[in-house]
Amino acid sequence: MDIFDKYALASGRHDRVLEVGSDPFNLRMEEIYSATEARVNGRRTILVGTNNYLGITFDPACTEAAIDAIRKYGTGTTGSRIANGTYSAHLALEEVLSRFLKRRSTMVFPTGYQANLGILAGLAGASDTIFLDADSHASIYDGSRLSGATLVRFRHNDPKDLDKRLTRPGTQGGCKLIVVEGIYSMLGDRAPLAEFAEVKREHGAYLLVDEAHSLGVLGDHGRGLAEEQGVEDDADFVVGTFSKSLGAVGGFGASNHPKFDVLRFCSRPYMFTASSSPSNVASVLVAVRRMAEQPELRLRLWDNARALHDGLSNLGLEIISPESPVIAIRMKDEETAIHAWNQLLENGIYVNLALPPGTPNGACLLRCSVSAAHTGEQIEEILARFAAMAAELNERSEKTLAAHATP
Amino acid sequence: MAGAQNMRDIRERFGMECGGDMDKSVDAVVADLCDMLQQYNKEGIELTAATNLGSELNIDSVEVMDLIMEIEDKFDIDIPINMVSDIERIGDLAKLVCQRLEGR
Repeated sequence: MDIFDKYALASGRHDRVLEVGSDPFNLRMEEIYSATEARVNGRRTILVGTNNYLGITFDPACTEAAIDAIRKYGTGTTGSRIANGTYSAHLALEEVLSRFLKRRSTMVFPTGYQANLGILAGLAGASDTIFLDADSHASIYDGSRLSGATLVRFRHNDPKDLDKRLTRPGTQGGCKLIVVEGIYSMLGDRAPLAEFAEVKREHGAYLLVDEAHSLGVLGDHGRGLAEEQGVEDDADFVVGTFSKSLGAVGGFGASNHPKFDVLRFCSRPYMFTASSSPSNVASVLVAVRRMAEQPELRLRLWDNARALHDGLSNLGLEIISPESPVIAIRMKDEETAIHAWNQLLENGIYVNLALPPGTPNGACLLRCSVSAAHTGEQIEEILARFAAMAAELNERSEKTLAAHATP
Repeated sequence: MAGAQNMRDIRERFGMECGGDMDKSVDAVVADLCDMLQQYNKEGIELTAATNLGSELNIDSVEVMDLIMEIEDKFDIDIPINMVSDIERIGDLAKLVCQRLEGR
């Protein structure tokens, strides 16, 4: 027996993906030209799957701040937050975020994934129950598991289903923590947060909202879905990431709860990992300011999102996301999805290939994410290349039909 | 209420048995689960308590969780997903359902 035998099915599936063309799960970005362009397989490629919503990865003020921080503070902290890894910049970023989010306290983490791990595993314990939306991100599942709490999954975006599960006798005792996301990463849909807040109040539960994809995207100030739906007071805990709208790496958890900071010495994923590098923290500090002071970035993002959503819908592709910076195009099966993804890449368009079990309801998706930095010309170009791909798919399926019709 | 009626039906069917004749109730649950699992049975194999969900029915991790939700609603119980990781066969799942019915 080999220790990797358990992955035989996954390996076989991956081998079949490689037979078609490039490896969608290990693609090499050879050179990054801008927030929206890179060299891939030697080709200049428009990036339409980077979650770089505000397009500020090359913002001169952000890059200068990062370079300056490296010179002043070095390349890394070589320590965790509870040892030597808390620099003035980490605390400054936490203060700036607290002010931006209108929260009493914010804890920053080296990645968004770790933010969910640290906050969920820190908040819930063995006697508590976490109610998580079925379509939650892997980091929510993993953080919930790490907490040791009882985990109950409710139907995606279904407050009535949540209410029913909160009422079942098996989940009484301990505290109840409900976890939902602002915008769901695969289908771009939003939680009906006002209704969830009502259920939360009825049952005396806590509510955590992961605004990873909605920070800088939703709300008049960009604070996310809770701001947009006017239920920030009901969101007891907010989690977010620096690796999308803020163009860097890292994550945060924030709250008004007066005892929130106890997690700094009780949450193991916070305590036992090296803190973010000074350059990373420095660029995020500037990026938060950009996000707050330049609402036009958000407006441009939405203009681009609408243009791409409408354009792709007009091509007859099956768009299963609402109007959103995340656009999910359903392909009829895995084979077609892999083929279409390769077609696009060979035509200089990078999107995400998303396959089950990483997607809801077994869907095989081409997933696009739009950036404020996409130009009108780029949107036209993206649509033209998608049109070519769609035409090729039609031709291909007609050929298959013809082959079946004449044995 | 439809839910309450459903719960009474289930109690009538399983309530006594889960406390007493454990094997018989597990068999009844196995039969119900086999019906529910037909939607995943693409190869049309015979489903029994010994059928392995992963290696024989090719049900992936998310499909298992979706199945758990359906089972929760059918029996009006909750089955926390952290109790599901050791489940390999339909029989294991049926035993878990009985345990949860008993504990209700």
